[in-house]
Formats: sequence, C-alpha cells, structure tokens
Amino acid sequence: MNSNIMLVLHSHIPYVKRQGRWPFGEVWLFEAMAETYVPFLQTWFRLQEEGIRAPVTLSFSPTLLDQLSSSYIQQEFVVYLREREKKAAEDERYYLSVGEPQIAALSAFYHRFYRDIRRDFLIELDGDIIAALKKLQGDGDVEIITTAASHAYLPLLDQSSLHHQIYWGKRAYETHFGISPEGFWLPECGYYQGLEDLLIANGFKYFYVDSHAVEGGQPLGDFSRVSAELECDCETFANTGLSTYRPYRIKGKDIMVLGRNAMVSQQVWSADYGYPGDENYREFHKKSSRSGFKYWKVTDRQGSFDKKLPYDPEKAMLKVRQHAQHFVKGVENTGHEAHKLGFSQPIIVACYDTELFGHWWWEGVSWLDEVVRGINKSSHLSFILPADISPEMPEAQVFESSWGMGGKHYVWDNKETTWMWEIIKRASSEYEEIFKNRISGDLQEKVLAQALRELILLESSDWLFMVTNNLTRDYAMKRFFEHYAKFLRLTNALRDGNYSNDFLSWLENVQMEDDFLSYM
Amino acid sequence: MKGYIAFCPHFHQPHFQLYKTREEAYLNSYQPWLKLLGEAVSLDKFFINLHFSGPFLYWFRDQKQDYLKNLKNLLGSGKIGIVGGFADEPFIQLSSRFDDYLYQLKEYDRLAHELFGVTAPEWQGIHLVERECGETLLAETSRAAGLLGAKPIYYLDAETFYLPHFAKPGGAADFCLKHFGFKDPFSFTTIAHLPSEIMYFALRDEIQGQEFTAVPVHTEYRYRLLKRNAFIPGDRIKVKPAHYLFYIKDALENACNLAAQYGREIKPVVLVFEDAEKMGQWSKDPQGDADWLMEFFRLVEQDDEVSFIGLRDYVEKVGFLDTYPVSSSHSYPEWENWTAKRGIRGVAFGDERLRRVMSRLRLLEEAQENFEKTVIEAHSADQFAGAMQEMVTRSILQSPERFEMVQTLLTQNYEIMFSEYYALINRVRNLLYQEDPKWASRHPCYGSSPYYDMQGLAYLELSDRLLMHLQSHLSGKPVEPDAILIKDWDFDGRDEILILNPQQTLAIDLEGGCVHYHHVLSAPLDGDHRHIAEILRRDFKEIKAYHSVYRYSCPLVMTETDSSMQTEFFPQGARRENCRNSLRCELLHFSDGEYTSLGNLEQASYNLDEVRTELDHSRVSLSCEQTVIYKEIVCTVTIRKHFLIFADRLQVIMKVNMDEKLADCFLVPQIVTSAAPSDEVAFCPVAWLGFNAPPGNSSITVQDIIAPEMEDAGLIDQQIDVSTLTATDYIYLINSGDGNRFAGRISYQFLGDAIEKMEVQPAVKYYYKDLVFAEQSRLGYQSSGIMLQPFIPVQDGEAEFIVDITWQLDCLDKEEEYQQVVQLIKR
Repeated sequence: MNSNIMLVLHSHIPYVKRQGRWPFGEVWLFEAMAETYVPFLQTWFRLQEEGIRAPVTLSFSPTLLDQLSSSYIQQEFVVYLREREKKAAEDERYYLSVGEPQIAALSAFYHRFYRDIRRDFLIELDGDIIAALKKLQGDGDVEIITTAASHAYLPLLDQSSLHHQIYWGKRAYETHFGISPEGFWLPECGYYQGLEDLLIANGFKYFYVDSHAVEGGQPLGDFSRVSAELECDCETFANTGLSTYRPYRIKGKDIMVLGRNAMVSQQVWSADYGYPGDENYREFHKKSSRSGFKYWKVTDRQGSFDKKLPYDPEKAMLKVRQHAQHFVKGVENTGHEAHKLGFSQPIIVACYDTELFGHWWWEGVSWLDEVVRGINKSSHLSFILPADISPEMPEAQVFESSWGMGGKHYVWDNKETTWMWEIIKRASSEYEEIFKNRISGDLQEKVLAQALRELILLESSDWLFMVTNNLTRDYAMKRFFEHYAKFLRLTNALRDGNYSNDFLSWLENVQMEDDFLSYM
Repeated sequence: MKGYIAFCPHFHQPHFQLYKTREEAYLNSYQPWLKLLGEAVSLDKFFINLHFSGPFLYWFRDQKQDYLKNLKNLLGSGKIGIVGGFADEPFIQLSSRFDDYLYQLKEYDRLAHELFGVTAPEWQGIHLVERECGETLLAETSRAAGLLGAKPIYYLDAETFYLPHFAKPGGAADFCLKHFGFKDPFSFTTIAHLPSEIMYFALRDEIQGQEFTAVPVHTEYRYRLLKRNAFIPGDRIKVKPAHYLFYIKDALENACNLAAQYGREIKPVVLVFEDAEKMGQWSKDPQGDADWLMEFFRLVEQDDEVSFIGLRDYVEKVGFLDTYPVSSSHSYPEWENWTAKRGIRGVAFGDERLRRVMSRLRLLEEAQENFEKTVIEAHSADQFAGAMQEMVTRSILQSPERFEMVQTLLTQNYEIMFSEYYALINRVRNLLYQEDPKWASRHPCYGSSPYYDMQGLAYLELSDRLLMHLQSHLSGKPVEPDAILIKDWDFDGRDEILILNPQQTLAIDLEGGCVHYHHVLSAPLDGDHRHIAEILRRDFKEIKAYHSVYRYSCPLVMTETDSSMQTEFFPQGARRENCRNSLRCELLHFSDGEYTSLGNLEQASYNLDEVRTELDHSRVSLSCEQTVIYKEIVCTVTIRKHFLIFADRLQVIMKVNMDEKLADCFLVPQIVTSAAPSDEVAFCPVAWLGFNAPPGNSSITVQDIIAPEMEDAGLIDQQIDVSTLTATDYIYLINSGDGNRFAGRISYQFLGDAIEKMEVQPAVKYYYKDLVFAEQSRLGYQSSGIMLQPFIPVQDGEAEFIVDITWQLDCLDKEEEYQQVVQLIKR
C-alpha cells in the first residue's frame, strides 16, 4: 500500500530592496537567503548528487523573484555575509576573553556557517538562486509555482486589483523562468468562490486551500495567529464529507484544488507540540546584544530569557534525526488511515512557509533533508508533484477560507486594518479611473506603470499582517504610507498633466527605489 | 596576487609495517601519487613539497627501486621539493642522548642524497614527527640542522603558537580571579597578541640562540582536503576542489588585510599538510581522489591570485614575520599539541607497556654509554688527566656529534668489528624511537600495534648481545653468564630484578610477583656475536625488518595492558591499566558453582627473599603473605615463588600454604606468553595447542577461539579432555613478507601436584576498554598471545605447582606429533 506525500513550500519576502537595511528591511531578505534558500538549495543539490529524489512543489512570490535576480541584492548579500562573518569572529574573540568558551565555540560555528553560505552562493550558485531553481525544475526535482504579484490577500481585493495581482504574478514567473506557471499559490491560502475564474483565465491549472476549506470542521488556526487582545470569530465549517487525501476539480470549472493535510501541518506548526519548540533546538527570539547572534537553545518554551542555556548543535542534530523519523512514521500512519478509509492512492499535502526552515526553525533544513531521506527509504511512501496527478478526479466546491486564525479573513481584515483596506480600495478605483482615461505617450506610460507598481506594493498582505500583530508595525505603516504617497503623486501628475523637472527627478528616484516588476 | 599555497604531503609507512598493509597502500596511494605528480608537473604554477619518512624510503629503496627512479626523474622538473626529516620517524625527544638529533638528520640526508640526489642544504624544510615539538626539540633540531647546512624551517600546528586568550576582568585569563577568588579590575590585555590571521606567514623565532622559522599548519585545511565522502555516519559535508580553493583564498585575503594593517607588504601562505595516504588508501578510491586533486591543481593554475610555492622558497622570496618574544613567552610547551591530548605523555610514564620499551632502551643506553666512556677515556688518557679528562669525556658524551666521535675513535684505533658493531647498535637503538607504536597503539582510529615494538625489541636484544661482546672484548673479561641487576628499571618507584644472560632477558616485578618482561634468543646464537652481527647486518643494510627476526629473537612476555586489571583514580577518568604479565597467581575457592578469588594475590606486593647464583642457574625467590577472611573463616595464606633461570629455560615453582584447611580451594597460576602468530602476507594467522595425552578426566577449556565463519563476535569455546595434564606445547606460525615461513614452539612441562583442569584464553581480552573503538580494544590469540590457567587443588592447606618453560624459535608445525590438538584460530 502506497501513499503519496506532496511537499509544498511557499516562499515570500516583501519587497524590501533599498527600503532600509537593519533592523527592518533588506536584512529580512538576506536572513532568508542565508538561513533558508541557500541551505535549501545546498541540501537539494546534495540529495541530487547522492541520487536521492526529493520532488517538492515550490512557490516563489514575484517580489522575492525580482529581488533575488537583482545584481544589487546579489552583491549586497555577499557584503551582508562578510559582515556576519566578521561579527562572528569578533564575538568568538570576545567570548573567549570573558571565559565563555561554549559561546565562543558557537561564534566559530556561525563564522563557518556564513562563510560556507558565501562559498556556495558564489561558487555553487554563481550568485544566482533563480538559475539554481530553474536547474532543479529542469531536472524534474521541483515544480515551481507562482503567487500574487505582491502577495496581496486576494479575497478582499476588487476585480481590477485581483487581475493585476494574478496577471503580474504570472508574468513575473514567465520573466524569470521562461515558461508559464501551472500552479498558483493563493497568498495565505485565501480563497473565495469565483477566484478560480481569474486563475483559469490566466492559464493556471491548480491551487491550494487549507484543510477546512475542503473537509469543513474547525480550522486549524495554527498559522497567522493574531494577538490576544483582538477578538476573532472562529467559525466552524460544515462537514462536507470531502477529503484532503484526494484532489478535486472545482465544480464545473477546469481547475484542480488541493487541500492541506491537517496532521502533517500541525506536527510542525503547532505551538504546543510542534517540533521547532523542542528544548534542544536553537532559540529564535533571544539574541546577543553584541552581535545579534542566537547562542541559546529553547531550553523551556515557557521559560524566561535569562534561563536559556547555550545551544549545542550536535545535540540538536540528534533531535533532528529523531523528529524526522517520527514525522515519516506519522505520515506512514496517516497513509494507513487513508487506506482504511478507502483511498487507494491517498495524497498527503504538506504545506509550509519555506522560511520556517532555517530562518525560524534553525534546524529545519536539516530536518527536511532527513525527512526526504526517510521517505525515500520508506516502502509505504512516495513523493508526488502536481504534474504527476491523474486528471481523473471528482468535482467539488470548497469553502471561502484562509489558513489564518479563524479560518477566514480575520487576520488581514479587522478593526486595526479597516482603514488600510479603505485606502487600498480607493487607490485601486483611482487607478482604474486614470487607466481608463489615460493619455498615450512614453512619459505617461512610465508614470502609469510606476503608479501600478506602487498600487501593487501597497496591496502587500505583509503590511496588514504586521499591523494586525503589532509586529514591526511602524515599518509596515511607513511602507504603506510611502507607497500610497508615491501613488498619489503619480496619479496626481497623470491627472494634472504636470510633469515638472522636480517631478521627473523624483520619478527617476522612485523608479530606482521601487523597481519591482521593472519589465512592466 | 593574494598569496601562496605550500602543499606538503607526508608519505609514511613505519618500520615493521605489515607486508599486506604496505602493498595495499602502494597500490591505492603511492602509485596513483606518482601518476598524479607526472601530470601535475606539466602545470606552470605547480609546486609541491614532499616529505617521505625514513622508514618509507628504506622500504622503497629495498623493494620499489623503479618507483624511486621515476620519482627522481620527476624531481628534474623543478616542481617538486624535498622536505627533510629524521631517519626513523622517531619521537627522538624521548631519547636520553642529544646526539640522536644529528644522527637522525644525517641518516636521512644520506638516504635522500642516495635516492634523489638532494642534500640537506637543498631541503625545503624539516618535517618534525607529528609536528610534535617542545623547546628542546626545536633548539636541538635547529642546532643539528645547522651542522648539516639545512635551513631549520618547520611546519608546526597552529595550536602550537596561538593561545587565544585575552585578559578581561572575570575572564579565563583573569589570574587574580583564578588564584585569589576576586576579579581583577585591571585585568586587561596590554601586550600584542597574535591574531589568528598572522598564522598565514612564516614566523621567525629563536630558542637557546638557535634561530628557526616555522610555518603554521592549519588543521581545517587538512580536514577539508579530499573531503569527498562522509567521515562518520550522518556526516553530509563534502568539499569540492573549488570550495577548498575558496577557503584558502579567503584565509589569504584576511591575512593580506592584516599585513596591510601592520604596514607590511608581505604575501601570506596557506600551508596544507596531509598524510599522503589520504589520497587513495583512506578512501580506497584512488582515481576519485586523484581527479579531485588534479582539479584543485588546475583551479590554482587558472587563478591569478594564488600560486603554489616551496617552503624554503617562500621564506627566501617573501620573508617572515618576527614573533619573538611574544609567542615564545608561552609557546612550544612540550607535548602540548594534538598528540599530547591523545595520551602521548603516557609514552614515557603513563602507559605500562610502552614504558617497558623505554626501560629497555634506557638499559641499552646505559650500557652503550659505559662502552663509550671506556673508549673515550682510553684515548684521552695520554693527553688529559684527572678532572680535565673527566671534562673531556663528559663534553664528548654531551656533544651532538658524540656518535661520530666515538665511531671515529673506534675506526682509527680498533679492529673493524668495533666500529661496525657500534654502528649497528646505534642504528637499532635509534629505530626503537619510531613514533608509530608510541602513539598509534593508543589512537582510537588505528588500534593496537604491538608488533612494531615487539620487532624493535627483538632487534634490540640482539644488539645488546653485541654490545656485551664489545664491552667484554674491550675490558678483556668474559661476558657474564648471568648478569643480575636489582634496580628500579621502569621508574615506578620500586625495584625489579633483572637477569640478562646470552639467551634471555628477564624482569621480575615484585608487584604481582610476576615476570613483566621476558625476551629469549634462539639457542644457536648463544655467544655467537658473528652470527648476531650477520643477522643485523643483513636486516639493516636495507632495513627489511620482516617478521623473520622472530626466528632468532622473540619476546615471550611483553603483554598489553589489561582492562580487567585497571586502577581507577577518579570516576571522571584518570585510570591506569596494568599489564597482564606472566606467572601471577590466584587462590580460588569453589562454591555453589562459582569460583571466588581469595585475597588479592594476583596483584599483591611480594617480598624479595633471595637472589642467588648457582652453578647452572640463577634463582630469585619471592613470598607473599595475606590474611584472608572468607565466610567468617580467617586464614593466613602464604605464597612462595621461585624463579630458576637456566641458560635456555625458565623454571618457576609456586607453593601455597594455608593455615586453615579450607575445602575446594585451588592454586591457579597464570602462564602467559605474548608470542603470537603472524601472517603479514595473507592475514590468516595460525596457532594451536598440542597435547600428548589420550582422552581422560582432566578437562581443558579453550575460550574465545577465533572462528571467522561464525556470526556475531566469531568467538567459540572448545573443551577437550586428557588423561593427565603434564605438558602442553603452544605453536604459533610466522608467515613473513620475505617468504620465510616457520613456527615457534613454547613448551610447558607441568611438575608438582596434579592439575585438575586448565582454562586457556587470550593473554589479554581487552585493553583500554571503552576508551578506544570497541573493535580495536578487543584482543585475541592473534594479537595478544595466550594465557594458561591450570587449577591445582589445595590439599591439607598446601599445593605446589612447577612449570618448566622451554622454547624453540624455529621449528616445524607438525600437528601429527600430538595426540590432541586445539586450533586457537579456526582455519
């Protein structure tokens, strides 16, 4: 009896290029590159060399693709890595001097880590992460899909913005990979009935939703939690009798939907018993005030920072192997349960944010490595890609939903963000109006295109999420207002036809700053 | 241009390496190296510094002459430099003689000149064994190098120089806190420290006026070279040639930046030191490794920022940084680098078995010095007198050129035999310092290698007889039939009894009342110095050093340490293992199906009652008295042991006396020999026990017979019964790499009271258990020898055991001569 596991990793970083370095801005991208994307590629190429197949579905947001392909980001990333190496070396010296050899050894560990990332980024990847992804896709080891242009939360957008987000999501993919995408990752798994029509219109063949969108019942709510003071209505969805063990064709439409499996998601994401909370893993939140390096282990998830003990990478690796074995066994058991329910070739869809592995969960990429090896050894499990799925499947309609807390739109649409939606909707209407009344001309088209870029960036789900969670809210609001202000000045110029020298100089600067979708 | 790479592979196979192992390394590594070098020298920027150990070169000179010719041709390319070193790859700092430094370098110089036409002044550097150095070694080696005109340029582990501690209040280097318990608010570093980046330059220093240059070796470049596969399970790190070059360039760039900070325009160098056998032999994939290296060489060729260089060439072309006095204030601590941390300090004092080798060497060195004194005094007497003559003698004995001077005196003033024998003795003595048995036998990766020392001792005992002959010839007195010494020969704070006669060297330890060293020479050699010299001349002309030496000279007792006889000092570690040795005994009581040892006779301290020389033997008598409380019975047990050393046999008498008549007690002697079979050609050793008695009531249980066809441990037990147990022969076969195949036989005749039964097991089953890899800790008949334990019932409070031990070192293994045979290693 065989079961199929579909590993889906969704990768996204907002457009932070030239939008501040540290503590907020480009450092987010560099951290994700150093801790997640490069290690992921290192691992997948190593598996490939060893002859181990690791087919995985990867979603890369257009904001991320554009930034990864930028020579500015590629060069700055190397500068960032060198800075980290230098800091680590300084830390090593310092901690030795104050008689903390265990922490000093960890500094040396980080020094080696960043140097090896730089080595592989320059030598193995030739500075081009996208080319490496293309190679993996060409070898049949990954299937890459796209998502909304700026990772906008789609269910709440108007039709015009929806069109821009999906269309430019597709175009960005084509620009970077030279082929058309077949799958679409709905940002935050946000879905409403009818959204599929736009996906079909753009040539997409499948998308993913959360498990309750297919099966009904209580949403997992393990992702995109909001702070306790916000009240969230958690809806219980009606049981449908459908299952995430199989794909469905949306009723009357030519597009496939795949539902995320609850068990495999919980095992990693759960705040209570997910693997990343293990006491031996590296603590994400406690940082050295000298350098920002994280030298401690979780120790006790409920414990205070001053009680955290030094991290031990070797012990953590032992735990990684145990957890990977546990996970593979769990997936096997889930497959057995599915067989008992009558699914002869069940599909277990495991969806995660790529940045969880390595960035948030330091040992996560190693865990993925071990999981892949475990699944390859298992006689009960096989990897599957969307392209491998037989076109014969039942039809169904799935619920309006997301993977956010409460199972619907609450995380992105609540009393903290109402005003932002008002601005987004107003800006979208304004753009539509100006677009309808546009005057032809090179300069006008240039200004119009920049206005659309600013609108698309304004619609990023990231700003809404940060405001809701009161995380880096200042940065999110700054970015939101800046894009809106730029949008207003651009649209005013288009409306007034007033293109002063001052404006042109400003425009040039804005085009350089927000050069997202430069091929627009 | 960022800097240079000094690539320094080290080729080594020890003296006495097993034939099969050597040949495997030859095919997997040395031949591929030659092919690789042939390709590499065609690259413009290629340069490599090769060090071949002396033992390696002796072996190649003897057996791989074509290889050496090809190598010599490659040297003509000018792309290969030779790094000099010591002739026997010795830990020469263990020697009691300063002249051994020069002797070792000179012998190497002679060898390298003969084989490659390269002389000491042309060496690219000097290889220090295991990069293990202290201030004495550095000073003495530099002094000796100066006498040969060689540049004292060494590669030393980076750890040797750089102790990265920086003083801060409360830190590890706050000595006020350490010693007085409070923080020193002024504990800040005020002098310049060596940052790690400075380790990529040649560093000039001096000790005792001896200037030398050291280029640090960086461990990380060793571990990454040819890192194509996992080292241990779970290791997923693979390093490609481009990665390797990346690391090197990165280090060079950082070093360049540092030099710029110091205002010095000096290009750095990364020194890559590695065992040559890592290519091909470790991985067993010579082609894969050669491809890796060639790709690396090509990458360097194509890179404008790096270039290969010779060690001496670098120092001469680029220069050096002066480190004196900052580093020498706390650097070069003797035995402080990585070998020390693996127990190398135990070489001299910690490990009992290895200490035995040192003890035997010291005894020979003492005798050699006495001989030298006699020679020097005889020839300085006509020019100097009194105190001046003593000073002249002392000066010569302390000179680095002591050997040469004595040798010259012998050549000029005595018959040729003197200088020839003296040279042979010195040659053999030096060889005993080779490093491999000093550390490899304790290294968790390489396991026990007792055969290196055993063979060395076999030659040493022969040399000692030559020395006895010279001394006797010089003094005009005949060699004493039995020289008896009572001295603390192993420096353990207690006296031992040493008996040296033409056929035996025996050391009796009062701890355990046992024989802890027993070496025998074959009877035909008795007093025949010409024959002995012939053997040494033959074997040392080319240093073949096969196992054939056991035909003439064999260690009967030189056992490993035994994990079942350990003393633990602290639960955290720090334990000492005692050697099993021979002729210990126990008193066992049998009850409820189990034997219980009464008292602590196995390791008890014995009194020396008497040492006596009789007409045809020497006699050493020991005794030990213990009060034993067993099941509320208080009993005084007295053991008496008499060792009777004849010219060609050893008889031991053991008597037990108990003042309470305790039933079911047994005197159980331990008769041990570390003579073991060896098949260095096919690795199929053969050993067996023969009994000339029909089946009967005395049972003999043989444990741990090696049965390779069995699963799991592959060990089985076997029991045979004999009518009466009065004798047994232990036969072991030697299959030597030079085509010699012969057997050794040790015969045990049991006299005294009747033996009820006997147990047989390997002499030592485990050494350093749980401290080295399990498969290496486990010993068997093929590696440790045999232990016989006869059970003699104590009747009316008394029992007597007598064993007569004789040996024949060169005989036939005729199983058919015995009524019953037990194979100790199943074929």
